[in-house]
Amino acid sequence: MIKNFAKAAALCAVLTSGAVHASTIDFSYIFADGLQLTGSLTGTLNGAFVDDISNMTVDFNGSTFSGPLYVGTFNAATNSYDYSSGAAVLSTNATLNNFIIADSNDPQGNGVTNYFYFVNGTTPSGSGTQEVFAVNTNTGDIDLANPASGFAAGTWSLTPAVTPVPVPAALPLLVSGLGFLASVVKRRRLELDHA
Amino acid sequence: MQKNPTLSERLPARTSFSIAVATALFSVAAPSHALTAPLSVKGVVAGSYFTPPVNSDNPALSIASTTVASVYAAAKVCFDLNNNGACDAGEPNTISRSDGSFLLTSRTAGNLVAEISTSTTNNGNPVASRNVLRVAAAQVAASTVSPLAPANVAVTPLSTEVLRMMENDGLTYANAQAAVAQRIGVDPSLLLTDPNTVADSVQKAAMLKESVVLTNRFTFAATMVDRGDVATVPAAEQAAMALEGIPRYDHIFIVMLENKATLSILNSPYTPNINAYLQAGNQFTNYYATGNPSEPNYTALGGGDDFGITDDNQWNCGATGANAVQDLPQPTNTQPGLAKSPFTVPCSQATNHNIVSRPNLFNALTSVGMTWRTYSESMNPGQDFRTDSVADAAVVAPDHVYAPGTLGGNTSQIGSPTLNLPLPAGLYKTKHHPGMAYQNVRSAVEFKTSNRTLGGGQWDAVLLNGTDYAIPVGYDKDQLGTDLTTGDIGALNFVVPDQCDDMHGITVTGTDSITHAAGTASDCTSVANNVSPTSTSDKILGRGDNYVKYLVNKIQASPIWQNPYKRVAIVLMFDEGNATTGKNSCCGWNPGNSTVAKPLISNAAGTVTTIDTSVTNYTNGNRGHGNSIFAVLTNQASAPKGIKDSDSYSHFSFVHTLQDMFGLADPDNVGTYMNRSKYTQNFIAANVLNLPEYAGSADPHFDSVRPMNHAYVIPSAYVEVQSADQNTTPQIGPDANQTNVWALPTSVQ
Repeated sequence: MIKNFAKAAALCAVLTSGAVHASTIDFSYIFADGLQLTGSLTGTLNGAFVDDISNMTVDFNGSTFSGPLYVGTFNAATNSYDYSSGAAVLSTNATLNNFIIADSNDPQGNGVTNYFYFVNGTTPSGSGTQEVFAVNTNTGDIDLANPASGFAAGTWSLTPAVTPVPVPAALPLLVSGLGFLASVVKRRRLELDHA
Repeated sequence: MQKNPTLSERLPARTSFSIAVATALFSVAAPSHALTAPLSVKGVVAGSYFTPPVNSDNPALSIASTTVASVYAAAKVCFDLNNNGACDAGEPNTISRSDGSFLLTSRTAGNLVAEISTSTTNNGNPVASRNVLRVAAAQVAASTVSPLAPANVAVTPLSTEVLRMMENDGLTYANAQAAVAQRIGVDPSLLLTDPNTVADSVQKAAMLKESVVLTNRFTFAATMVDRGDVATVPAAEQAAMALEGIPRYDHIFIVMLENKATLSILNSPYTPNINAYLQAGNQFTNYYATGNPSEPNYTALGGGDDFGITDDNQWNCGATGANAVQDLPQPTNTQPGLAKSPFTVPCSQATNHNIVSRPNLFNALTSVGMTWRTYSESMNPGQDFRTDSVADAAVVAPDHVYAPGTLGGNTSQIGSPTLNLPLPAGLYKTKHHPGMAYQNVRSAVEFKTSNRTLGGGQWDAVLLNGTDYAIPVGYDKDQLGTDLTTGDIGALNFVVPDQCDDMHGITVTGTDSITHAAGTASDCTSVANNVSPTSTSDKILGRGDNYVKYLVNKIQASPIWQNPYKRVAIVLMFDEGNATTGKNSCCGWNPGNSTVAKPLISNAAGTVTTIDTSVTNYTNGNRGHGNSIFAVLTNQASAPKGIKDSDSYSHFSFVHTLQDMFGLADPDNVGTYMNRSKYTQNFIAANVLNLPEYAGSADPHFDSVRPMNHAYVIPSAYVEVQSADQNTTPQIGPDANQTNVWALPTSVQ
């Protein structure tokens, strides 16, 4: 009985600290002409979607976006960008994406120097149903994927990072779980020694 | 782990933006644009690919031109931050891809520039001469649908024209876009799109036609910058629209009248309409014919020379050897439209009348994508244009009747309402066709379709009763009227009335329906070229004057004329005046020397000039024939009016002027002006040793060709050199002002 409880506690500690809670997620977009955009963020992969997004980094054609970076979404109704919490839609499924990562959270893009958006549905340019656009005005790098405009689609990838990094808030729980597990093991050993 | 390339390694693949320059640029630009969104463009460099026609003397070798929508690959595209029309170091730039597309971003707004070099290709074809196309920053802004989204922009000749008009004419982007769109008859929403994507064939054709013309103008602008004529592309683009001060017109109608010196027309009671037009519009008061009789003048109007022709003989006369007629099939009576033709083969004569391989306005226009028309009146329906019209007893019209007070102050009725006049021969004459003498014009692919009919004639109502030729189904006896409605007008339009309506005069006889007595038409009897303006025999002047009014009213009522965005002119002129002595000739000939007058020809670069000995009897031609009126009316209400330019000009000057007007020559290379229209004062000075006809000329200015731009300021003590047929007091000193007769208001330049 006590043995099974210990196993459950250990599993709970691991799950809480790693897969279910915020983790590092990598994403990339390889444009049809070969230009690469890679990045990472901290978030919670919930099914096909990423929640609680923070700590974005973007590297476009070898140059890192200046920051800090904000994540938001394109609002076709207002023809602007919405950077409110939870607005962005990042997904493992490229056809579900609707997000922008930029170094300014101004709805009209004021003050932006580099940005990357991936929009399905009504696109910011008004052309086609999917538009991926990356711009770094610091370097002049720019690329577009919008088949309706003659710019072929590229390849999107969003996956958890290979090595999950526990977030600080989960560490005490992990330590307490492991401590509890250690005490149970020690107690079992003492019981066996005394048996 | 992928090793990122260094920035300098990355940039060549994406952009030639240098790090150092970029740093410098943005370190300056960033503070002032920190609160603005960056600009991005997904664009295409596009236009037209024009394949010039083959204008051969041999019709079998002549090929029509073609035009297709095109893209420019490997063009350098940039944000022109300093607006000098060039991609300078530090300006964000990229290279257009094989499909003409490009992506470009900038933190600073600016016009777009596409530098089209000889390394650029146009639809995969080499570009022969550098060009620069542009897009207004306002167009980029208007094409930005959402913040941060790439603006969808096509860099085209039309976008360049819109920007040029914004800069030169002070128009807003929207107004300039609307002006160009309405000028060429295209929906404004289509005007600035990639022509490759335009589905409407009519509008696409209009866009491409204008693109070809603009491409030529802007290419020349780049040339002017490259050789240092003009400092910047924006300034050069404007200069290219007014070569030697002659503004670009979209359409010009040249109404050809016959055989009347200025003294016969000016203030004549028989020509109140022409005199009113002279006052309402502008005029050249010292305009000279170049020969006598008609044919050499018309030939000169077609190409700036008469090639020694001194008569009205058939265009095949003397055409032997290298000048042999090459029309296919030969125009004999076995051909349709020639069955009753007076055309004879052969026509033996010493002077060749079939001008072979000579440049002319017709070929020059089609070579750069423009069109020409001749509109001729009172031809036999179904006849070939290469022959004179013939009589037709089945076509009968009543005499013109003039009530008292309607013709030169007549006090009694002129003409008989019961006099029936069968269609006479020779109302249409090939001698009055400015292109007829040129073999390569008759052999041109468009020759048949560009020669059209002109309505308003005395016999029009019954013209289709004609029996001389098989009348084509749907024969249109007034294609000018039709074309004015549809807009299918040429850039250059010679409007040629018949020999009654043009004041030439022929014998027209008929029979009175009641008395059965023979009679003569009331108003087609010929009078002298210098007839007194008040002579009671001047009835044909009144007839011609009425016909001029009919034509002017017809043109002025058309959508073309009433389109304020089009630049349209009507010229009222005569082929010749009257003088055969004294200063009867201007601009290309010193009548004091008639011994040796072979023409000079230049190579394409204008660097080698030699005497052309290939023209037989050349010394006979280009003798001039006095002074005649020349009126210019424009459709621009706010254009200058009442201007008189008294500098001396001739048909050669007019051909020179038309080459400027339509961008057919390079003012810095007189060798590019055709035939004797190149005989400018500088050219004469440079070639005087090879130019015998100018030896001993007392007035090199008078005896040289110049554009009709009113640039020459007559010296204060200069007494006007007049033709012997002028009866006005010679002017002393300069004109009242130097305003260009062709001047257009700024809003449409």
